[in-house]
Amino acid sequence: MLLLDMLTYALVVFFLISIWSFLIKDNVLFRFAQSIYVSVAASSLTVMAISSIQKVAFTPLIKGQYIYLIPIIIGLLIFTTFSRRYIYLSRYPICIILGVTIGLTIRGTITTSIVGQISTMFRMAKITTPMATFNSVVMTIGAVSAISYFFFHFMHKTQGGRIIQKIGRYAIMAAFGTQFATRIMYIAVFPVNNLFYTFMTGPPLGFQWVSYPIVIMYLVITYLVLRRTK
Amino acid sequence: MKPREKTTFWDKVGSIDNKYLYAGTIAVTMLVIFSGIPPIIAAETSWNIQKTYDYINTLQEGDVVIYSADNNAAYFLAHIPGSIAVLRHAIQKRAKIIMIGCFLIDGSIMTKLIILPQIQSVLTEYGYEYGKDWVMFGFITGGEAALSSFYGNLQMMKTDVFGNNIEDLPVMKDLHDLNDVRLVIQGGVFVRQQIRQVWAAWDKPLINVGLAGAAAWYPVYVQAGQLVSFVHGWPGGAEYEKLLGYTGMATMGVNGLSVLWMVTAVAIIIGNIGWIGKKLEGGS
Repeated sequence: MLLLDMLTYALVVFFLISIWSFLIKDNVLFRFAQSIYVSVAASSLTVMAISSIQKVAFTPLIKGQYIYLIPIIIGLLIFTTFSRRYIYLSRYPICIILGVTIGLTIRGTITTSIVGQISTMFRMAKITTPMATFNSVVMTIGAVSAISYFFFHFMHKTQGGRIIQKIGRYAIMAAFGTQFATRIMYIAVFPVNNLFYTFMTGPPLGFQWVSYPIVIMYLVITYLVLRRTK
Repeated sequence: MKPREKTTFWDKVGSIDNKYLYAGTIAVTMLVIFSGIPPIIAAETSWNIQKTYDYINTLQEGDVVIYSADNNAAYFLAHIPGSIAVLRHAIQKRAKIIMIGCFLIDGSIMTKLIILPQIQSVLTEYGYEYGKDWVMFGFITGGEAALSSFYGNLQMMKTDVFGNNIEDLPVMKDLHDLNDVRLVIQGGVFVRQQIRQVWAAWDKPLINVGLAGAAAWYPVYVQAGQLVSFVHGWPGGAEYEKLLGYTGMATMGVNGLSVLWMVTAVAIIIGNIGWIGKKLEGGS
């Protein structure tokens, strides 16, 4: 068990550094790690899907709930995609899945993403402290002008309309800048997370020391490869 | 013959190979992580962390909490400390925990491999028994439709992740739908989907444990009342650990994170200065 834990951890470190070696140069170890990742992800997805079908559909069927035969048969119709003669049957399960997904999405989207957000914007307009008032004014002007930039194309014909649309452009640019900054921020977190988890914490038994020889081995191989290719 | 263009300082700055930047950034970060400098965490707790903490403090013994791990292996490490801290707090309040995974398959695997060993000591300390006080159902295939079905019928999954029948799990005995659940905690990025299925459909409270970027993205949902609050990645996890009074992964790694962000910001500033410098010199 101890050996298995150590081996697992060594593999974690090996694959982590193999993937990161791409930052230096595309190499065979990166491609190897990439292939392993894709194949493991695909196979685990397949296993999970089969396990889910077994739990949700076959187990109740075996226990006597024969109503589950209907969704099982409809689900199996998807495989008629491979038959040129019966391919039309695969449209039924696809339509059912699409219809259910769209229905569930729209049901919640109008309340949460449209009505909810617009009403919050106006409810947030506070005239309490000077800072809150300033924030409310900036937010309202920014939101209205950004929307007008997209929807009211006729506004560019008047001087006032052009000013509002210019403000809208700046508001959109500020929003994109914030999006970019937060994306950089959270993407930058991943290497620290991986470094820390791999080299500082590791499995409960503390196999951090396993990572050091692997890192040293990698550095030596990189040095030898780079020296050879000069 | 065309005269050779003079290489300016800004050209040299702009032509630094990316691999040196990456290597330098990682080296500096690792230096800080291994240096043993005590963690530097903000003295004041963020409003969202305090709100999350206060809300979980209102949980009573026996309240049911669903924890949904909706993330893949790439993002998972970002919200682990926050998830562990929030789950520890819920366990300290003696809530019943139901763990599921949705949208992305890795979430439930990583919950079992990483989160579970980290909270095992707390589960043992509070005398939690599997099946009676907490249960793990694993990944639910089918995305939002499956999530909606599960929330509508909590008995949908006939076996748990370890193969036990649902009839043998006393914690699930009186649970029918989301009306019997006190709180849903989501560890991941599929916030809009969870808001649709938890808040819009059932009017139940939802807490998100997400990425560090959540600090900029999710306040709008809190202000709209669609989200109770959120924990923003490792910085949020570190603040939550401080509130709970223990030193976890986030507290130990927060220095490295701060240094990495500073180095990234400096690199962006230098890049922008280089661009402006070139523009002023008449370059393109």
